[in-house]
Amino acid sequence: MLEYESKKIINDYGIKIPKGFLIKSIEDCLKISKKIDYPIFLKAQLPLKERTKIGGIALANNEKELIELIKKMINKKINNITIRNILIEEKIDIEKEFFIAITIDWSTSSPILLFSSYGGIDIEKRKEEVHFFKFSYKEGLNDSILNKIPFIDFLEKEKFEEFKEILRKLWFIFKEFNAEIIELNPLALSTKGELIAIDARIVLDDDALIIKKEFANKISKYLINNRVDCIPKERENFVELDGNIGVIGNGAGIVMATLDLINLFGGKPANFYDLGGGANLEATFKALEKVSSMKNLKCIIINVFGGMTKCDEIAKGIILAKEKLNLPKLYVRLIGENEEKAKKILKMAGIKYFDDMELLIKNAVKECDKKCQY
Amino acid sequence: MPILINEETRVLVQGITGKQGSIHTEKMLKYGTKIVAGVTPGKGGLKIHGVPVYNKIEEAIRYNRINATIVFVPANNVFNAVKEAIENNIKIIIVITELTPLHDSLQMIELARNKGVRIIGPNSAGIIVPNKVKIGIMPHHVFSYGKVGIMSRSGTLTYEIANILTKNGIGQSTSISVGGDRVVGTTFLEVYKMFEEDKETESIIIIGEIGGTMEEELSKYLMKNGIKKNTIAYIVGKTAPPEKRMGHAGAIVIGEIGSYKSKVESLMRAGVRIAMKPYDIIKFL
Repeated sequence: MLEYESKKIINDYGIKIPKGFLIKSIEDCLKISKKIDYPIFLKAQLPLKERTKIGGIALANNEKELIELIKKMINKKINNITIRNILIEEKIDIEKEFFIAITIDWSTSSPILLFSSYGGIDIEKRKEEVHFFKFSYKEGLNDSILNKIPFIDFLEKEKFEEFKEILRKLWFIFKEFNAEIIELNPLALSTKGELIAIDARIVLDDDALIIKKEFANKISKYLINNRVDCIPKERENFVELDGNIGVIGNGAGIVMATLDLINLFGGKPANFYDLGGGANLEATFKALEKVSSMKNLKCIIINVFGGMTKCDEIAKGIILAKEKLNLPKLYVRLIGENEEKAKKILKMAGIKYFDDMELLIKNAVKECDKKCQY
Repeated sequence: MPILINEETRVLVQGITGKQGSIHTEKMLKYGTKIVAGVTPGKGGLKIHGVPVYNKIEEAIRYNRINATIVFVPANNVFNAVKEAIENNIKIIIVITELTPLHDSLQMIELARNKGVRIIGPNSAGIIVPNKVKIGIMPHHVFSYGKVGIMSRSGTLTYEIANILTKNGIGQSTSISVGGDRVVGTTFLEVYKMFEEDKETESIIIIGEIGGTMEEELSKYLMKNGIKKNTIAYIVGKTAPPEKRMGHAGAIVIGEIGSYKSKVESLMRAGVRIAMKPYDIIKFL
């Protein structure tokens, strides 16, 4: 989620954030530019880390500077992503910055709290100063964990209680929002003595968004205008790459293996497409439609090892696609479930097929791209 | 000795009345697996391929001895199904379902750990002891009995490699798919230790992929304890772009974590032989 969206969530659960306005245009900006105090921050709403270093964050000392900076930023691209929204945010005078995050320790499948008494943009370089506390999901972030945090000298006792309360809230949000990461960097102690989240980042679990409809609805309320389209409906099974050999297969492993072998034999894959388990005629047609719509394709490799998937269904899908779509040359291998039926279908349609995966890919690379020598 | 399961394992199927549950119950039965009961809430009293269906596990265990369960229920019910199995003290739970939400997985894995229950998966293709028993969805004809243990994060790629082994006369002791998700109940390291102790397993094949740190953790263990059995790894995803999820929830490289290079280098340092192509595996056996 974007900073603005993440902040809206944590603020709803009682964590303080700086005052801010989201703007989409110069006109939006002019509506507020006279009412606000300067200096003020401009923060491009992009799904990128370390925005300060890539020009996504700026400080305006007065109205004139603000307008100039907005003009420079809005609808411009950083790392190929267009800036559509800018957060205009109050500048907090900071006494001390912290880094806090809750995420998953993937190797032990347990939640983990990360803390550093040095927050800010260079946290990646100060990894050794980050403290880690793994904890039980069931027990949660209770006092036995919170009391291990070794920085009481940075905060007065009363503030430390407030700090712990923020951590408890973050854990609650982490669970409530099926998060993979929730990070405040920095969480600041202001000169006025307030604990405020200067930046916030929440990464959600895509599978929860796909499976739990009520959760997807809840999230949509926090998304900037039309970003609702960004909520995934199904697992992404297509990834575009920069080569010229289209790839369709069943199972992530076999498709990745196909890509690697294309490379090993001197070719360049154009994409990753996983048909998934139990793909039928329609799914095959859809896959060929998607892959064949890419530019500069020399050929398409279809590599299927049928377990749940029935090869004859795939073969029928290929035949249908061949009739209805403008396909480049196909290199097909269908083995496993109903393999014989599939071969008959392909034979009748005059489509060449292979039994062996390495032979299939070697041939495709050799014939598709004559310049590439194997 | 196969690991985890054998011919005597008595199996429950959760979600037995669903399409996949029903199809694979029939296939497992034909293979010789002792499927003694099925559970689907609201469908108690039915029979699926001769297997009695119950509404709850509690009822199923009243009439049947059960050692393991295979879960086919939809992703939003996986947590409850697994919790029910743990509460009824079933010691091996194999989860086939894809797309289980992360927080559900975290909670059920922790629960299982605390109760001494082993979860395989989610997003697993199951376990097979060729010619004897399978609790899973793999096309069993590509497997043959022998002395090579296989552990894998991918279903179809395992079939591919088992097929190559079988065609070359190399049989397998047990093949386990640990699952393609980011968090799984049983890791490569845990399975490896079982293969290490298994007298019938002479060589071990690791079919890994980019993402996560399971391969690296195994390497660490091997560095420390030394390699006792011939171990071969085939890792896929070398050409995957960073920060892109390649089909499996777990197949994603973030920063340096989970990269092909990190996995292959650490395994090589630990003395594991690396196959660049599926066929290269047989050269090392």
